[in-house]
Amino acid sequence: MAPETTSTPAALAWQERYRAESQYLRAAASWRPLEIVFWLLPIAAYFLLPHQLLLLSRVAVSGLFALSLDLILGYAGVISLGHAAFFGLGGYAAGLLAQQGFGEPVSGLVIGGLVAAILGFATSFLVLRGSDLTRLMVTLGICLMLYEVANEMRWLTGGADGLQGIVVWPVLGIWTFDLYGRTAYVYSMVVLFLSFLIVRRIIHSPYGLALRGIKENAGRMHALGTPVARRLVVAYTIAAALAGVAGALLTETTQFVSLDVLSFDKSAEVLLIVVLGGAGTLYGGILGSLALIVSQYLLSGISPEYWQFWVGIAFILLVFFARGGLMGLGQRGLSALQKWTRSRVARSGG
Amino acid sequence: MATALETKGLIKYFGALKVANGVSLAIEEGARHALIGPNGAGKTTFINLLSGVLVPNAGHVILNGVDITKEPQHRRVSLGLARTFQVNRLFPSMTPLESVTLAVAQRRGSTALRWPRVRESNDVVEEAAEILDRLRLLDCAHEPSKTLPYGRQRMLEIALALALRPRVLLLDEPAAGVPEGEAVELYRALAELPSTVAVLLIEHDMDLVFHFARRISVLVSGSILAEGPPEVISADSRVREVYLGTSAYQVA
Repeated sequence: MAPETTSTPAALAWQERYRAESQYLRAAASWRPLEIVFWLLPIAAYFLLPHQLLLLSRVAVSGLFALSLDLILGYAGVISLGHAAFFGLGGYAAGLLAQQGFGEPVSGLVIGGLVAAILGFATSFLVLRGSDLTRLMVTLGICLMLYEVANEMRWLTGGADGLQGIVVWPVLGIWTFDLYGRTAYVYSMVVLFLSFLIVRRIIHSPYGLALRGIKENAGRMHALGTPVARRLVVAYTIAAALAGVAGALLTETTQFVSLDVLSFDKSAEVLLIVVLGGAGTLYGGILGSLALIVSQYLLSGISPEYWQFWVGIAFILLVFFARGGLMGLGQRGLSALQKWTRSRVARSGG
Repeated sequence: MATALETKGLIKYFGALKVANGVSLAIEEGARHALIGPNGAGKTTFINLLSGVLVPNAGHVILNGVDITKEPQHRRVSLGLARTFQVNRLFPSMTPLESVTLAVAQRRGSTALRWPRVRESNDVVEEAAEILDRLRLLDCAHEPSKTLPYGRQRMLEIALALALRPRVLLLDEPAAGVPEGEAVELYRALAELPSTVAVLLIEHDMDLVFHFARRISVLVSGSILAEGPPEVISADSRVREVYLGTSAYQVA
């Protein structure tokens, strides 16, 4: 039983005995050196790749979108084929706001996220019933409906031509969106990083542990006394909000939004990205986005007509030979490297 | 002694099949009560009715004087009713420490989304470590649950239930599938269960039942055939008849 005070000798001995264990969760939540290196790379890229900033902004937006899906797919185990519904809704919300004369970007993000969160909360009750297959169908259905609504309401959304006349104000009234995408890049990276911090914190909290428990064995979670549905509703709503922020970010950095953001392709793409990068790994979505967008860019330069063919082959190879996606591949590589260096050290030492 | 858990005339149909035929059972506070019966007697159905996996067609389940017949599973747990499962239902890739931490956090009401306080989460993990220590699982606290030997997985089942600090604990065949070499640990863990917890043991292993239980109820075809202390039950001719096919059990 947990002692109430820390002063008695018995309590101190007790704490001593379990010190290693009690540090464990905090150790899991602490930042690893590789993570810090990872987040220094975008800063380096700003200086080293000044001509690729527009492309890298797309990576940031896609990374945020994938991060939001990873929260429900990789951690809570809720599969979705309609996550673009929230991305698109956030994108249109921010776009309409800016088109109607209020182009303040940060409020655009907030409102995009809020509108998507409301849709997420409202539909979560439909989605969270039933099996994986029902979830696929329901999420897909909701996204298709939204697409058709946006298509029909041409007077508001511009239909297939996209929303025209979006004017986004400078970020915080200081940084104007420029032709080279410098502002867009820094802005998207900062939003991605802040959102990442939130998701990271969630994952390492007892709530995050409960989400993992639900993914692993929802039946057992009931027997532990967890209101499973309530936990999932919250996760789904947060994921929807973040997807909405990602959509709003895309609209603001490109000053344009069209039906693409609500398309089935978009939902399927983000699902592929998460699987490619490694579901439930926090970084998988960002790595997957980077890999997909950069390979699209490079391959479409080499073979403009067949690039999708090569991407397809890469997917199949990854799924067969790299379980856990790019993150799984990287982790296995790292531990192999560690083993190798350790054996080298051991050999040279004795 | 007061009654911790009570059922009154529980009836459950699966289609036309009556699997619980008016089961009335009372479990005292701090009891060591066993429920035995031949295969298909409805033991697992009964536990599912108690824990809320199934809803009865008629009758009542009363926990510490509160009617919980209509409460969902997770509410029953927060009212003090925990269970283990006949087949291990663990969190395969989570470690024992993570799993039990999760259970402790749930009991303390902190798995809802909120800003965690470091001090508090340390307490939770320390309590989890202490429970693992009690069940001699501390040395494998950081290994994924699915890699543990079967017997230790059974112990983890019990650790998860204990982390909820129940008033009533339902053990659904804890010895099922445990190899003989690992059974000693299990017997000891059961003997060391807190005396304040009322335990209902459902078990096929008659050794364990007669070791552990101070009261035995016999369930046959969905109703209670006999109830009493072990020596009365082992001498009961109707009970012997039910078990005759598999040779009657003798208490030394």
